[in-house]
Amino acid sequence: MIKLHNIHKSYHVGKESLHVLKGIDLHIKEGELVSIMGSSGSGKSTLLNLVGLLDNYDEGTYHLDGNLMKNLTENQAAYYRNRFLGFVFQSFNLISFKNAQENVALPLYYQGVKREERNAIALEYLDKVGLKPWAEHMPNELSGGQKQRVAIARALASKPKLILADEPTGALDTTTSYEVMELLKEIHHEGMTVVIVTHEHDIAEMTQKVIHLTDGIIEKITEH
Amino acid sequence: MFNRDNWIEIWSTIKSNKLRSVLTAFGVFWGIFILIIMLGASKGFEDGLNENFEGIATNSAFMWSQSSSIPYKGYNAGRRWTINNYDIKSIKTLVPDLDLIAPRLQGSFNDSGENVVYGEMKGSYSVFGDYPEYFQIIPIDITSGRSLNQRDIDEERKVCVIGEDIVEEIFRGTDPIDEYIEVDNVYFKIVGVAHPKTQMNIGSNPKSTVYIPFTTLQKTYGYGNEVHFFCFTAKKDVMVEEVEEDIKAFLLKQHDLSPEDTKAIGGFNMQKEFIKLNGVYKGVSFLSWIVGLGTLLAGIIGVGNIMLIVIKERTKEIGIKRALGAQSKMIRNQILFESAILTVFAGFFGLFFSVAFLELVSMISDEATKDAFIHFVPEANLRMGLAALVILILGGIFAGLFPASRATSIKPIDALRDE
Repeated sequence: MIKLHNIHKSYHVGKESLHVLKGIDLHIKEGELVSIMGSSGSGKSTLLNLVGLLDNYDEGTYHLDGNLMKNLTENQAAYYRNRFLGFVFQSFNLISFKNAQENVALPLYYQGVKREERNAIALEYLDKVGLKPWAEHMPNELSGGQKQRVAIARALASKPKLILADEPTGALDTTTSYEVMELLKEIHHEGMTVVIVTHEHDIAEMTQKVIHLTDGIIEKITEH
Repeated sequence: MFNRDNWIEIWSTIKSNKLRSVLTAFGVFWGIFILIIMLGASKGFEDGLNENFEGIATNSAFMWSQSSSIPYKGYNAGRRWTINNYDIKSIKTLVPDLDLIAPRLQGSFNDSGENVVYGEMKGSYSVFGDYPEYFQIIPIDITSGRSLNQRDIDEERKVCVIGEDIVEEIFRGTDPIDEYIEVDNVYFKIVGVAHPKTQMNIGSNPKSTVYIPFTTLQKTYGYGNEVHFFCFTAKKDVMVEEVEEDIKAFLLKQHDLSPEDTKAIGGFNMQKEFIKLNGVYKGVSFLSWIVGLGTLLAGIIGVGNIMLIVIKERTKEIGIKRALGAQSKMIRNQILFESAILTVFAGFFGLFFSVAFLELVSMISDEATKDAFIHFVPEANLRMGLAALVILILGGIFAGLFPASRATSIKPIDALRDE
């Protein structure tokens, strides 16, 4: 599903250059549940941004489902994000003036799915994450765990090939965190490829494969 | 583009910052309001002035004799001289670019006592001796009967056309046609009633004037062959000023006046005044556009400014949408659409209220200024409204352009980091 070869990425701040990723080789197969672990500054978020097509890399190659992702324009990137990827963020990133159902339907809107159809699909996914009765609720009427489940439903709604979760439990208490992880594991069991970035060991423990990142290189990969 | 989601988003942005939206909209509202009011007022001013010239031959001028100011050919300065019938005849043949010439005589003046009598009724009115040509230059409306004609002149008939105020005051509104009135002790048969066509008065107000054939008046008042003043027009495409010069030269020579004597002949050039006035209302109209558009532009820039703030505030939301797969043109259109809606919506209010305001003003001023020098009826015409609408829509899109390009330049990764 994801094939990274010798990926390098530097950030330029003024004259200073910060070499964040120093040659990443990574292969994530279809249907895997993988976590990327590392301390802050290890480059794990940068790696996720590259994989999530939110940022460009300087060197190397990145194949997503067999397609080479290189020098994409913003609109091409937007297209691939919409069709291939589902995002789950630490801060949920729901749109505040849209209700749960509309939030879940948003990626489908960008795919050009008709209103009634996308609302039906959105409801179906809300049901899947156990929030069907909350479909009409606005984000500020939901708890943190509920918000994250809405976000997961939104990530799933466009039937992506890959779910990318950036610290999905970072803003949640332990109990809720485990509930969210259970949901992600369930999705994985249904065949979805899931990549989770985290700095919490207990969360990483729940995945099949943990990629340890230190100072921009993969230190080790542990399998459970 | 015109689907429900767009409207919901626009509405939620506007709603989430009510005060800011209202203040922004007010800028555009005020701009279009001022623009329309100013254009309407200047149009009303122009129409009002034009009404005064309605029917008046604008290529016309008046001329009269005054005292000489330079001693010449043995005559002292300050000599009185008069224009006569022979002069008029000579001018007709000698000045090729002359079109119409109408000599006038004034019979008696308003302050000369009660000079018009009908039975028991008396009044004091202006009396003028005129040629039919005069009414081709300064028209009057004949509300009943007829005007003076050439046969009245040729046969020196004792007939007259009277102003409508005389009918009102002397005849108490009854039909005066074919009645005889005594004007300065001479009886005249009334053949017509005059109503002024314009608010412009030359010598007297037509409402309270008795018009008598020139030749009749000259004889009955014992004026000999004297002419008090005359008005004339130039042929088409000839400036009346040229004709004026020719006539002046002739009169100065004819009456032994110095060719340098600029004070011996009095005059009034209608064309010059008309051109001057034309310049005035062109200037007023130009100023209205400048001030109005300036105000509107300020309003539109205000919308653009607010849209920039809106984008700043919604950076994260734009980032989320981009991450979820929104194409840049969707983001751009959203911003453009939003600013266009805000502008057009506010503009419509401005248009509506300014037109309503103009209507109100014109309703009041139509009556109030009916007899004033400027009959002031401001109006917003369709062309103005359409122009304003086009300006608004373009302005709205213009206001959104810069914010929209700012919005599409936001990278999702930066936007998501924005807290």
